Amino acid sequence: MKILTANSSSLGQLKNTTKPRLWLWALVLLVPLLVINLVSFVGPITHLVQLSFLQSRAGVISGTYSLENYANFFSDGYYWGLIGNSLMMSFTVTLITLGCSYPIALFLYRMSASSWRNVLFVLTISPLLVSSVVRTYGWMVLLGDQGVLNSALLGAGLLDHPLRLVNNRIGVAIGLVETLVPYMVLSLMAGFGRLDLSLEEAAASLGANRIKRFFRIILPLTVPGIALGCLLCFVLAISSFITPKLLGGGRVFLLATEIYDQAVIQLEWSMAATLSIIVLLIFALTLFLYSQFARRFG
Amino acid sequence: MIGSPTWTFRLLIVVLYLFLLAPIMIVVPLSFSNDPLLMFPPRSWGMRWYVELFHHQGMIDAFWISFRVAIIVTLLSLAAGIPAAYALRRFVFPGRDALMALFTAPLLLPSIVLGLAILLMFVRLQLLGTFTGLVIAHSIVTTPYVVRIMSTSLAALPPTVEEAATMLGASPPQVFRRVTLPLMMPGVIASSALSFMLSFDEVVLSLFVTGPRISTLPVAIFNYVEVRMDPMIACVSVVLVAVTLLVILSVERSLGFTRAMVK
Amino acid sequence: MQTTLSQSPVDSLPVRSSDASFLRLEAITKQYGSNSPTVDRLDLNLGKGQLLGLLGPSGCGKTTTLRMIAGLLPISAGRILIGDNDISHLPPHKRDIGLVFQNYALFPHMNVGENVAFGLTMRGIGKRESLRRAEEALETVRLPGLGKRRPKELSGGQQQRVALARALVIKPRLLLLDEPLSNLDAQLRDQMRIEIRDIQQLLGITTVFVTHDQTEALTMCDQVGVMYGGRLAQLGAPEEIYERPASMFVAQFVGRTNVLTGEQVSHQQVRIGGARYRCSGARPHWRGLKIAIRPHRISLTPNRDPSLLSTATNCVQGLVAAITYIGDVLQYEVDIGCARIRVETPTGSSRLRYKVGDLVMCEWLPQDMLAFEG
Ligand SMILES: Nc1ncnc2c1ncn2[C@@H]1O[C@H](COP(=O)(O)OP(=O)(O)OP(=O)(O)O)[C@@H](O)[C@H]1O
Ligand SMILES: [Mg+2]
Repeated sequence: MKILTANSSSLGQLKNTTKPRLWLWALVLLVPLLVINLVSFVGPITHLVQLSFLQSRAGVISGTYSLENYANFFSDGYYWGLIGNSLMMSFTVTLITLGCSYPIALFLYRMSASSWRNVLFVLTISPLLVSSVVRTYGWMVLLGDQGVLNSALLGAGLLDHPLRLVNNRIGVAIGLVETLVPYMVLSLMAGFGRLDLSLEEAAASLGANRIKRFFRIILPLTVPGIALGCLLCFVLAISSFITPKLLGGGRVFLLATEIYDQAVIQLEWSMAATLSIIVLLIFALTLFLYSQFARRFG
Repeated sequence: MIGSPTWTFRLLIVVLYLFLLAPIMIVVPLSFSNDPLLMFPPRSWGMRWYVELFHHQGMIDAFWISFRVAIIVTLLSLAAGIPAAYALRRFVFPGRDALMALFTAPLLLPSIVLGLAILLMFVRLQLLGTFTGLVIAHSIVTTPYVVRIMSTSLAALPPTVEEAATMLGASPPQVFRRVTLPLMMPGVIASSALSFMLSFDEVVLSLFVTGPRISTLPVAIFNYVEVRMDPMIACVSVVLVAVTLLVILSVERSLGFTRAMVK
Repeated sequence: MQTTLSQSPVDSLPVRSSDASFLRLEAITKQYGSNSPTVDRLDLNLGKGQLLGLLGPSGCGKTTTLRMIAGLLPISAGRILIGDNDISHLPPHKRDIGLVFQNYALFPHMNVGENVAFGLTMRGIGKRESLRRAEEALETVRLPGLGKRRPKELSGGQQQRVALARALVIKPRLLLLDEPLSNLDAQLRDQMRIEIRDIQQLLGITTVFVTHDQTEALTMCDQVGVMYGGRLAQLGAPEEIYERPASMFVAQFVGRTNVLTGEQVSHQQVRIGGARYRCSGARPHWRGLKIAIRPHRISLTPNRDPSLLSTATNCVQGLVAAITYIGDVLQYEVDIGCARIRVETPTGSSRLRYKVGDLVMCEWLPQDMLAFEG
């Protein structure tokens, strides 16, 4: 009996002292990051969502909550065009990126571990490490009317006037593909786990030639990696801004560039906010489609 | 042989790598052009544009702003990210997973949306076009990586090692300084390098929060190439790439970059 | 095992009489959340310089107990005393207790010398002096000159010794070892067992040794505590645990045993499957009776007429059903009608061997039958 009362009292004491102190410690450690997160993530995003339901003129927010911006958005053919452009661009770019990345990923995956492989791997992801403005500038230099490529072709007498490769969609697509290849390669390689040389050897022993082996064995096995890479690239392409802005030369209109123009140049904040929400909705939809796909094939 | 690449396949790979690296490689020869305008191949060679760059006050200022921002962002993200990762890994409390998700969520958001959101918030907080604003905005990009890297490296550190130190008489701060921190060092180095590079190269967020009074190097380049094309930007690019290389090499020397990235 | 058993009374008897206990656990309890307690009002007294082996099935709370003593887990209730000091709420780094972990937990970023010297540096001893004493400690565990190596460059057994040296060099009041030998191979384990015991004796350090392995507990320890479901099922000298288990659980957990169901006939007799045996210890108010007999306490003799046998022993006729050769013993499975019992005889050329199908007599002394309620 005596023991029991002693137990309950010291249990109570523990509850009162030890536990709150642990909590306090955890809180103290978490607070700095929480503050940063609140100030530049949770706060801004909440505000953004809020603003997409308000009106603003030239940087002054007014009005009451309504769906007016969304109504404007969906009733204006210009915005539909933007969505169309963005989806089309992202879709094309994703496919081209896949085409460029697949051979690289396969090559790297097949290579036996060596310092060569490491070098090639670093080279593959090096675009990730170099500022996007630098790379975009490089493309402007390469593809411009008086750029490296056109000078060479004109000088060799192969052309009489320069190819138009920048300030249009072609330039944007080229720049985006180069930006996205590293992401695609990484996703593909992550998904190549099931690829086993012995499967190919088995197929070969059953009489499949190189091309049949690729389409019947390698490609089906790597579908999960392809899906993941395409998801990532599509999402990145639709939200990318620097490349379309600079290589499009103000002549390619996409959702991302429109958000920037509305917000920074026209100061139409609530419309910019609405456009951002639309981008996020497209994100969500893409993710949903991917998860459906992954469930069926993963 | 099965699995060994054919020559056409090898050629394809070479072409693809050329494509991938062309825009980075082209800026190096270009930066040594002495021509007044962009021409390839340059008519004359020299250091003229480097000299010009070092007299371009806007670029110099932007470089130092970028540099200072990157340093402070790195320190701030380590100071906020390491304790948070530690708390998330070593304490058991409700809502831990939710917090982890919250801290890494900014990674998933497109930077154009995040940039706009921060712009709208900073207008209210009067942080637009300020050094502080830049630092806070960049930190939201770098901290998710720090938290992730640090919590992986903490997960690899068995708690018994810390307990062993405790039993040998080390107080909690001593355990952290003598055992936990040294063992987290590879993660700390990787996080710092990544934070520095992410901040130094950040464009989209910076475009939203910088103003006429303050500009980072990538923003200065962006604004410059929107209106003019001359070899000076090639020189800046070389400087930018050189800084990146410097960071990578110093990490490589201390622990091997590929290992750090893989971790 | 036999030899140690015959030695242990000499070792353990004087020790048991020392009632000046050094480590005292008073009803310590650990409860995670609202589950039933993991360690439930555990009492324990350990004399100075003694080696206690904590034995028990997986999940019975051995590690939990050890971590509570170490201070790494706060106790939910009860008291822990060392000497006369209540250390229940002292933080672990002030308890002055050495702990050796199952995975050794050496600091990977320090070399062996620095590992061992760590505790000394924490006590404010200068670096050079610490390293000198660390080297001494490494000599005690027979690892001289390895101070500059990294823990990774050592074998499992060597790491184990470093961990031991690291815990011992601070001259702790109490040494706790949590399954320190379970990552070693059988031969190394035997060797380390002796070494740990020797060092413990040499330094006269009070020690709690957690183990899964009953041989380890019986051969090394002055006292053995058998834990079950968060409680101490029995605490005593190895021989006591083995010869006079306090419950059927202890009898079955420590050493091999035959379990037979019976009923009490009189004060001196029990009935098992129709036959009567001499056996004391059963109590009339028990609801059921279970009898435990160790297989090696039963001897086999060729079949004879039971009436010719001495009435001082118990005996029963049986049929050899299976034979297993286990190296040092032969294990017979003998069918005695109501049950199948295991009998172990030492192997040796001089011994009589039986074949499957042979009729044999099984004999044992009445005091080898242990009666329990159940
Ligand atoms: N943090 C915890 N929360 C809830 N239950 C726990 C926790 N830690 C341990 N337990 C439970 O406590 C019981 C005792 O665990 P303990 O580690 O003390 O066992 P043990 O006797 O050392 O076993 P083993 O021989 O396997 O090491 C187990 O049933 C375990 O599930
Ligand atoms: Mg255990």
